Amino acid sequence: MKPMPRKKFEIWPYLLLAPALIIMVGVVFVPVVEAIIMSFKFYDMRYPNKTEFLGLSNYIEILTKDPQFWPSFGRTLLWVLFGVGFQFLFGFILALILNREFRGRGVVRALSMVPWVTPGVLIGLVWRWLYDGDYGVVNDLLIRMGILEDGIPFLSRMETALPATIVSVVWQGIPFFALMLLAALQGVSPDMYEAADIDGANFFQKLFRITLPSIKNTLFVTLLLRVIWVMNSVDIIQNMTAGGPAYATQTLSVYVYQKAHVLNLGYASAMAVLMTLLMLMAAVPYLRSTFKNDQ
Amino acid sequence: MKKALAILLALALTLSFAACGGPSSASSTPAPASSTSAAPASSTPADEPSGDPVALTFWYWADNTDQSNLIQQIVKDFNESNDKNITVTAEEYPWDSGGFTDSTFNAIMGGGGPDMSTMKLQAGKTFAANGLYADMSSYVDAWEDKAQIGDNVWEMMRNATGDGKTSILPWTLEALYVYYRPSYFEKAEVEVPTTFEEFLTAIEKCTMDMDGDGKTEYGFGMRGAGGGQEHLGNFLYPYGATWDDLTTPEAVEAYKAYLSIYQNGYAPETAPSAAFAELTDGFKTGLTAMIIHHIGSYAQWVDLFGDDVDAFPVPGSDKGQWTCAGDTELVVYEQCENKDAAFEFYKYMTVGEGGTTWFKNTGKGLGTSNVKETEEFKSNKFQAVAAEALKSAGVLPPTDTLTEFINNVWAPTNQQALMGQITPEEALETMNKALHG
Repeated sequence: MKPMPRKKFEIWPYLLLAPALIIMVGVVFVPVVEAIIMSFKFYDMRYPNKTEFLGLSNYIEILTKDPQFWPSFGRTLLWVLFGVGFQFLFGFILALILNREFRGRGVVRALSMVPWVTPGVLIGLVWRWLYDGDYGVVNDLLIRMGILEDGIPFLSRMETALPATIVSVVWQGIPFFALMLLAALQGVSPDMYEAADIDGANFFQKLFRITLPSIKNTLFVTLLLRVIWVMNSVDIIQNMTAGGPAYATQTLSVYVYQKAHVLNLGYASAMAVLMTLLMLMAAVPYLRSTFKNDQ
Repeated sequence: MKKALAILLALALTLSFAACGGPSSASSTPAPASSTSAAPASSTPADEPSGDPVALTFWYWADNTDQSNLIQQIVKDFNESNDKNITVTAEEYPWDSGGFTDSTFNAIMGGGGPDMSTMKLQAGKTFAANGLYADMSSYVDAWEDKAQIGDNVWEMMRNATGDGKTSILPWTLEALYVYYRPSYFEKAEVEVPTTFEEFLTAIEKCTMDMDGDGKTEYGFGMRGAGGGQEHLGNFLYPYGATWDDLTTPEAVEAYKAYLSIYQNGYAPETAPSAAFAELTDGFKTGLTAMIIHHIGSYAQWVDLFGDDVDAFPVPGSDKGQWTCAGDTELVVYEQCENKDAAFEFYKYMTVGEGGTTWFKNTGKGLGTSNVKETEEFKSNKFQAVAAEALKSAGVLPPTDTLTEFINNVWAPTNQQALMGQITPEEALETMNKALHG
């Protein structure tokens, strides 16, 4: 048997990849490693001379003594569950609508992207005024429709503040889901629907037997991305309520931001690492089960 | 492979968030300025400037675009008019709820940053503890116009750093006082309060339907969220309490009086989440009869209400009186190579033409003679109230943890107390611990 010729080493692919790799290492991996190292230290920039290695002290304090960590974690779960859940639901409905032929579809598609291209800071500020208890448009509409007699200060009440912020993040994220799912829907062969029609399948049968299985991978990746982004989201809550009233909207990411904002970086890093681990505990099994069938 | 890639993607995305607060964040702060200085450093204030070109970098924040243009113009005028060959480059960065001080701190710690900047007293200790401020005591002591600025102001500057040095140079002090609507007072049949008790009564009486639309207007615009801690001091001192210990019976009594305003319905229901914007909008729309704010907002009230707006200092009692001074100061950093030139610029910004122009356009200043001589000062009734309020003005104790108290503790704790989730005693205990450790 003739031996296989030895493949010649090519330097060019490595050279071409190098800039991207260097940037990735520099702006992602080095800071990540630094953050992990910092999480084991007393690292408060207000006291630079007191920086010292603490071992697991930051973690122990967060998990056992910090009165805000676990409540913030609980609120984060609600924030992600309802935030991403409703984004998916309404995004999917929007994608199904946009996947149909109708007059002015291009305009509707373009307009539906507006929330997604609006900066989170602006979304926070806009919704803050929409919800205002004294002059907000939401209250004004509800009063005019006879649903309310007096305005509700949505962002000032414990029971309404978190749901109000969730509505804002849902509004922001619907277009992303719609865009991703629409792209996936357009890859589903019309032949399958025709065959289903011939077999007499109804809308729900086609939805659950053809549509959802066909876009499953896109759906899972989109969900995962949004879970990560929504969980890490600070801008909307910080600008709407700054975590208030009385911690009612303080999620973990907002808590981390606030700790880091006063330069207590060691403690904030430890919380961020814990948050990452908690997220990975959900994300890894999710990914394993999602792509199990592909292997 | 797909699985590995997906997990890697998730890991990178999530951990990149964790990295946001790292030391590398200095790279995301404003780009370090090129603070070059052509002149040699001078060690004593008595030295005559050499006349060689001197370049200084000055970082500042502006409250609005008008002030932004104004500062640029003042700096331009200084560059053109000074006879010491000093050129100041003014660079603007947003205040960003205190982000300015963090960015400046990170920039200097990272080896960049300006020669001078605007600054708040509340950040004094952090900068001083790290040796970032230049000690300007000798310059101030040798300054012929030092006496134009009150001794209590210089004392305030020294206390802010905690090291006894004059490192922070006063520029603008805006003592808080009460703006009120005379027409509301007339309708509620109350006189301008002269005691704290009368003040509380006026708040109660002014809570009524003022415009006949069937809805209640409120006596007091309460700032329950960000910035509201400054107003707490107005309540503490008349009851004999101080910032030094918030757990005393006097402090509890004062805080109960504060909370009762909201709990009795004399402040809008939005008060727990009200910050600056909500506070001023409430007054702007006629929802509230009184708000506590400083001279910086008088022009908009006069534009809106004409003669139907007036002011009085927050009253005290025989036990005490205190109001918070909102401040914007100037600092020279240790890394500045020509402190003589920096102090020349400071003088121009206070007793010089820069200070006069600043006052004429903003109503802000230190009451120095160049300011008092202007027609704008003499004809403005709010300036007299501001000057009166300044006599009992102070700042929150500049403890190591003040920033954390202001940014992370005050609002949620106060909100919990306002909503009755925790007792006043518990709230004050939390605040005291956050403030004093």
